[in-house]
Amino acid sequence: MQAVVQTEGASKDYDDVTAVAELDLVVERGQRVALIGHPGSGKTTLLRLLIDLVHPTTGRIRVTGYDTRVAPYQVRRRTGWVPNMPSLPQNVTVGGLLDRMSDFKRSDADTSIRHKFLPAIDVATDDPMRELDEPEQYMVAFIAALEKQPELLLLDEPLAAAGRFRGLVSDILGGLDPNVTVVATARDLTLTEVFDERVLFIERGHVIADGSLENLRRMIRQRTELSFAETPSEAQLRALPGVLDLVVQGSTARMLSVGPTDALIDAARPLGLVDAVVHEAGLDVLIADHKLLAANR
Amino acid sequence: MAVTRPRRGVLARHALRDATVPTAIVGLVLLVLASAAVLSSTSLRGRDGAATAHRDLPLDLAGLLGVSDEETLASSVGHLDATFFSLVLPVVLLALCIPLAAKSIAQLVTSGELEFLGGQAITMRDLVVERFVAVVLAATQAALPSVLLVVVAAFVGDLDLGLLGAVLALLRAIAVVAFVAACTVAASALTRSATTAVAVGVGVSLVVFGTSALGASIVSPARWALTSAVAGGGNPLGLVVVVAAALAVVVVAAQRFDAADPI
Repeated sequence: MQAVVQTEGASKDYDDVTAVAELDLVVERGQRVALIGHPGSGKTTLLRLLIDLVHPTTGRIRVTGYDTRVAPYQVRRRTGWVPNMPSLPQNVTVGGLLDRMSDFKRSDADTSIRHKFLPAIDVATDDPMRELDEPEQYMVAFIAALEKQPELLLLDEPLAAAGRFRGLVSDILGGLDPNVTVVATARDLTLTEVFDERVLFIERGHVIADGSLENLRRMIRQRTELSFAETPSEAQLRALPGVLDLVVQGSTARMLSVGPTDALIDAARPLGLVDAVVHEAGLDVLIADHKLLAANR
Repeated sequence: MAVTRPRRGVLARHALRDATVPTAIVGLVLLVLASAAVLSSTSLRGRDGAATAHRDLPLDLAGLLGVSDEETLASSVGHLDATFFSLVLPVVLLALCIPLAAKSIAQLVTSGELEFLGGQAITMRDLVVERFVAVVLAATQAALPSVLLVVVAAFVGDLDLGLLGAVLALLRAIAVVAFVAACTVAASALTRSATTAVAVGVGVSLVVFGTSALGASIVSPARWALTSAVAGGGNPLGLVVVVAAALAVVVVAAQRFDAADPI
C-alpha cells in the first residue's frame, strides 16, 4: 500500500506549548482516519501541519509523496482542506467562489459536484455568500474541496461544522471513491459512526491510541449489567472472562470488565443469563483509559 | 514524479476583481482632477502669476515637482507636470493603493480567510507577490483614463505634450506607487496588521514626497532616486532604481512570509 501521509518525529511547538509531539504516523491510500480528542489536544494543528499551514518545529512530513516544507504547492494541489468554520470571501456569489477555487486547478473543474450537492442544501450558484448561514458556508467549502478531486481530504470537525447537513456530509463521505484518503477530526465519538476502521485518540499532542473503534473499546474498562434468572455466586461471576470488579444487587450483577463483551456474555449464559446491557464507554473514559495504557507501555 | 508549477496570475486576478469599486471611484476622481489640471494649465499660459507662484514654492517642493524656474511653471506642459503628473496623480493613486496594499495580506490572516485559501494550490510567496502586482495593476487601471484624457486634451488644445511624455509621466507615478505599495504589502505580510501597514505606507509616502525631515537627512540616496522618479527631470536611472527597490522589497517579504507559519 502507498502511504499518503507519513510523518517522522513531527512536532509543533508554540512558545512553551507543544501542540503536536514527535508524531510518527502513516496513513495509507484509501484509509479513513478519525482523529479524536478534546479541544486543544492538537488535532487541528496536526491537520494544519499536513497542509503546511503551520510548519513543523522538528521532524519531516510527507503528504501525497511530497515533503510539505519542500513542495507545499504539490501537497496543496492534491489535498482538499476544509477548516472548521471556514472564513470565506463574502463579496462573491456561491458560484463565483467555487469558480475562484477551481481557477487554481490546471485542469477543468468537475462542476457536476456543485450541481449535485448545492440543491441538497437549498443553495443556488447565484446566491451571495454573505446571505448563507454557517452550515451552508461550510458546505460550500466542502463542495469546493470535493471539486478539487483530491487524493487526500482533510476535514476539521466536519460533522459539528456541517450542523443540520451532517447527514449529507456522512453520506458524501460514505460514498467517496475508495482511493480517496480522508483524515477528519472530532471532539466526540459521532465521527466514528462514519469512520470506525481507524480511530486515533490524541491527547496533548500525543497519539495515545490507534486502531479500530471496536479494538480500542476492547482494550479498556467497560460497564456491563447482567441479569440472571437465579443469582449465581460471586465466585462464579468473578471467574467470567475479563471481570475486574463487580457489585451484585439481587439478580443483577453490575461489573467492570476488559476485553470482548461478547465473550463475557457467552460465558455468562450457562449461569442463567436473561438480559445483558453493555454501557459503551464515552469519550472521556476512552481517552482516560487509553492514556493510562499508553503511560504503562 | 511529475512536477507542475502553480498557475500564475490567478491570485492577482482575484484581488484585482475585489478592488473593482475603489479602483473605479479613484479613476473617476482622477478624471475630474485631470480635467481641472488641463483647464488651469491652458488659463495659466502667459500669466504673470506663474513667476509669483514659483517664488512662493518651498525649494524642496519646487525641486520635487520638477519646477526648476518660473518658465517651467509658466508653460502649459510644465504646469501639467508640476500639478497633475507629479503631485495629484501619485497622491491620489497612493490614496487608493495604501489601503489595498495594507489589507492585502493582513486582512486574509486576521479574518481567517488565509486558512481556507492556504489550502488551495498556491504558494505563500506567490500570494505576496501577486497581491502586490494586483495593487500596481489597480493603480494603472485607475490612472489610465485620466492620462488618456490629458493626452487627448493636449492634442485638441494644442498643448506641447506628446504621447511619450504622458507615458513617461504615467510610468513615474506608477513607479512611485509600486515602491510605496511594495513597502506596504511587505509590512502587511510581516506584521499581519493592516493598521501598521497603513502607517508604513503613509510614512514611506512622506519620505518619497520629501515632506518628511527624515527623508532629507538620512536616506538621501533613496530620496534622490525617488525624487528622480517623482519629478522626472529626465533621469531614467532613478525610475529603474525605484522599480528595482520595489521588487526587492516584495521578494524579500514574500520569502520571509513563506518561511513563517502562514496562520
